[in-house]
Amino acid sequence: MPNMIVCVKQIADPEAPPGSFKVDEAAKRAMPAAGVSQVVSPFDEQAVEAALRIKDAHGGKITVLSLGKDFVMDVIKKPLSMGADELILLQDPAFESDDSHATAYALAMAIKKVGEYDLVFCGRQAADWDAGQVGSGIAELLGIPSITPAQKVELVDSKIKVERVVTDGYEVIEASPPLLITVSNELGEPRYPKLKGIMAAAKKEVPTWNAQDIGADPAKLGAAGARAKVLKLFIPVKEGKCEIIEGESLEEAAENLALKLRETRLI
Amino acid sequence: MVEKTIRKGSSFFMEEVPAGDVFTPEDFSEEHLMIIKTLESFIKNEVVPHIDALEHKDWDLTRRLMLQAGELGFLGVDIEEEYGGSELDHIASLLVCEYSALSGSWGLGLNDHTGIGSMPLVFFGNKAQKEKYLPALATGEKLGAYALTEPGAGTDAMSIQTTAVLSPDGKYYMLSGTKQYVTNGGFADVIFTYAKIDGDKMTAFILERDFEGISFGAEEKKMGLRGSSTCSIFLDGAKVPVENVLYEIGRGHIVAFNILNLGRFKLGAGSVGVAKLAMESSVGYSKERVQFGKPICQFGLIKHKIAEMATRLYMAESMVYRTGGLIDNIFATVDRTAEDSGRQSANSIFEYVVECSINKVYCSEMLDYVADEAVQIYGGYGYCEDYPVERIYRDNRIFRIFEGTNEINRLLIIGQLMRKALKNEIPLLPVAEKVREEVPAMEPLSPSSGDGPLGYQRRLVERAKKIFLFLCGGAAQKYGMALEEEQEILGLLSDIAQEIYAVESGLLRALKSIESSGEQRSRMKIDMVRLYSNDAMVRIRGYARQILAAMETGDALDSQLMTLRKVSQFTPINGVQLRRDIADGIIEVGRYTC
Repeated sequence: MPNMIVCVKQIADPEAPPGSFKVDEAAKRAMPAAGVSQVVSPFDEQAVEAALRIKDAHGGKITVLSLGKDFVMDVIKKPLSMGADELILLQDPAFESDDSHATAYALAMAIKKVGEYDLVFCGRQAADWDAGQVGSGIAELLGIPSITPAQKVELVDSKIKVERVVTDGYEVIEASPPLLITVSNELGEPRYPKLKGIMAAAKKEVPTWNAQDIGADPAKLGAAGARAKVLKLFIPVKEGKCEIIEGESLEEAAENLALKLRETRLI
Repeated sequence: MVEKTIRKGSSFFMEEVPAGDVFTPEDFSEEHLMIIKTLESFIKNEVVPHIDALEHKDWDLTRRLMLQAGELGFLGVDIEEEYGGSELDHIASLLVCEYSALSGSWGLGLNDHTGIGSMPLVFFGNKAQKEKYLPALATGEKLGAYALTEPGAGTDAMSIQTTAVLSPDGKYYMLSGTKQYVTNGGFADVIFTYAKIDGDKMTAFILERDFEGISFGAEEKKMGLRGSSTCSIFLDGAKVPVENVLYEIGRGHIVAFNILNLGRFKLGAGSVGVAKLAMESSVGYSKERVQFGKPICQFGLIKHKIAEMATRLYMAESMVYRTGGLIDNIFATVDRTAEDSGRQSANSIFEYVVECSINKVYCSEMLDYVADEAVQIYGGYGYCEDYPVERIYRDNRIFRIFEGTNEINRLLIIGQLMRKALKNEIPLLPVAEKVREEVPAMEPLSPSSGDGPLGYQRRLVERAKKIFLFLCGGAAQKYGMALEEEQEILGLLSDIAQEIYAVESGLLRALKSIESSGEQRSRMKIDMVRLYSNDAMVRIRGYARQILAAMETGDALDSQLMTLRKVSQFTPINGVQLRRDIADGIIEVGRYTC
């Protein structure tokens, strides 16, 4: 029975209207948006679902790790209510950073502390920064192979069979654990928590680990451990202009449209 | 664990309630919040996309979705664990009502099934009956319905004509009669109904759809809730095994009234859910619709509507969950292992019969107002089927009619209060007598009275209670037992009672919020309470004048009006500015918030 670890992130609801998001350009940080609820990043929910499908078929244990701050417990416990076994929160001012490498390092150290594992799942990217770097980073730091991004994951005779999403379809890869897999939305909708699951999750005690608990090197965490530098953070201004392309006939209008598109280098 | 205070039903009229004693939505547990999120996403993703098909009476789809809800556990919230339910608290049960109502007809079907279509068994079934029916009702494999109304017996439920005659072999009751307006009637598998044995013994029965002698009428062509099934049931010597008598022979009215009472309480939560949807839809529209060069939400009269809708919704939401908290507290005292725990539970809900009726009337009329103004904000578009408020407007009309019309509930509010008073369950009459003595000497409230935030509003609520008790005492003195014939007076008294429960629920919630989160974070609640208490006092004074004018004449009338003027005098607030502030907060987030 596989031991599985899933990394999830709590983010501001990406479905909220764009107008509700604001950035502090000077501090290069996203501002907490008023009235926008927090959610588990949707790709991460799919990662939980991928692990649950393996658990449904073969049993096993699912431990969920989440690094962040200001956790909303009824949000971050969702994976537990869906059927995961444990949830561990990683919270420490030292962790605070939007940098993918520093995040991957902290998560990798936490995974080592959890101990034995066969599979590590991540969402293909967090739906706030959309960087998509943390999954591969964890695999690199743990020294295990990774497959990104997957639309189907199965356990077949102690091997892991993964359908990996590529531009025009998918390819099938077989690998041996331990292995890290990032999961894409093509996997399908994550399950709804059942009421019994909600009741169990609400009762569950959730431990919090800090930097010391996971034996992390402070120099590799937070701003100190950042490998990327944010030069500018801003909300792009979208301009919507409409131009009616005229023509005596449909053909002429189409020709004028094509010329216009070429002129503006859209084709 | 904090010791919960059990407050006697209706006692709030006679005493000051500490804010810490009431349950508020800010007290929702992790479990409650997770239930909300799951229901919201289930309704949004699985039900709402099919609303068109559901509105066209696709019963297969209705049942499939019901099974899905059952699999998630949402049909068994009130059912005991040993019969497949989860036996959660009443707050959870109210949340299921509120959030499933967001799906319109389908949600009504669900609430009918889990409420009056299952609860007769939960409260009054014996072990064998529960074992036989409840597990399938909890999963949604079988769906429930409740058939009380007859062509000649609506509000006057005790006048039903359906008869039950024991078969010569003593194994069956043969039921004959017609039941109508049965929600879920088109497909329900288990139906709770009532018939009279020996001409006068009103008795509850459990029917199964395929019992011999039962047939079903055509679907009613309704104004709204077109995606819910409503039809008649014809009983033509229907053979019902004697073991399907629910509770005791001749005690059917106990079952009927307790179940209706529960239904009323839950209807309040459903109304709150639909009103939130109507607000989200119309506020969203008002931000997009541009006239005279700006979004219409920036105009004062639209802001007035938005603020008023949100404020009434806030009071309704506060009273619904306050009542839920009261019921949960008293439920905790019921021995759940006792054989008659169901009946004890029903009795404990009956303790709050006045509050349940207030919930029903106030919340359905709040929804009526919100739905109407939502259409008005949409203008001509709101009159077209393409927009959700058109359906909400039609759907909500029945809320003032079913589960006991608002008229019978208005009578019940004061009728049950007086019953409790006459049985000395509550000291209403002695307290009212004392109030009648002290009120003539009372001075108008000074603007500086009341300490701390909302201190003045607290004093206003106190005054409103005094006025109510003054009038109750006067009415009891003048009419005695004949008061029940004075329906107009009872209606006006019940309107005052509702205003008191509403404004006090909103006030206590705001005070509790100030205590836990501070004034800054409670700003919207504070504004809403200031606005509503001001307007409620104006309305209460109006009702009181009507009552006095109907009861007294000449010098006695003059003197009582003078007393009323002094007691009800208060300093008005700037409602225009308050409404603008409230509306701005709602418009910013695009939906109801507080």
